[in-house]
Amino acid sequence: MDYPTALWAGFRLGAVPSCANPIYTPHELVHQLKLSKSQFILTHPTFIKSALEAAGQVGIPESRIFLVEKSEKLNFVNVPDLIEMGRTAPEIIPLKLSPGESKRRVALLNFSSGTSGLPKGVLISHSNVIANVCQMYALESSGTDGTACNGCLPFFHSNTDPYFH
Amino acid sequence: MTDIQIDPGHIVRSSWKDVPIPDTDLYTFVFRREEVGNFPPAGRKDRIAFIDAPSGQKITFSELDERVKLLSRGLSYGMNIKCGDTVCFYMPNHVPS
Repeated sequence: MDYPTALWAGFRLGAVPSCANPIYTPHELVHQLKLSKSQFILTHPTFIKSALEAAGQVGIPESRIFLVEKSEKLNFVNVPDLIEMGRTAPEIIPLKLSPGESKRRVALLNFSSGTSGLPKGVLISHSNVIANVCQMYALESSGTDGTACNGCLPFFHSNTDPYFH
Repeated sequence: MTDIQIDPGHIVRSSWKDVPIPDTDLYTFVFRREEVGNFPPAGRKDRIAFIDAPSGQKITFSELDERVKLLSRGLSYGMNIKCGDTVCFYMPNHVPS
């Protein structure tokens, strides 16, 4: 389950995930990388070719691209190795927000499909997602514990943000 | 970001009661909710957080929390990702294989 693992690891560190559609062409990905000013790319071996092409166009070095799973053929840092490294690495100082900061602090930098024109970046605060979850709980809380929900939405999509929180 | 002044006359109120919205970050909200007002009430740590339908693989909240903590250290020391950095996630839903 390393898509959500990586999201929450990012939140704990105070990093901002900007989730992109994995079937974006390099050209489409470049648009999001530029607007979000992403410094790192987390991808899957299947999509490394497009990721590299887009990264090259915006000047993200290969050392800042990492994979969600190990790959025999690709020599990139990967999430399972980073998790192993975390066993011996010192503890980090987790993100600690000051009172009221959750409404201003950007948690996610999603992109709207942009009804007209190119996709647009949307600043999602920590409080934005938490408010969605609390509202959903207030309306739909009957029988939540132990009930499995069918999670069929793609995790990169902003629709999904409140659902797995 | 600046706070926007809203004319109170332009606010339409819901017929539903207000819900409390914990003032915290998303990691604490999911894994340390009892420390920040406990709304919605935190569940047991050993309950299942995710089930991968094709493989049947499951992960509990406490296992997921441990994995998240280890990875946050790995991102910091292995990738040199810092607070405030933006990371583009360019991948499909993923389960370790």
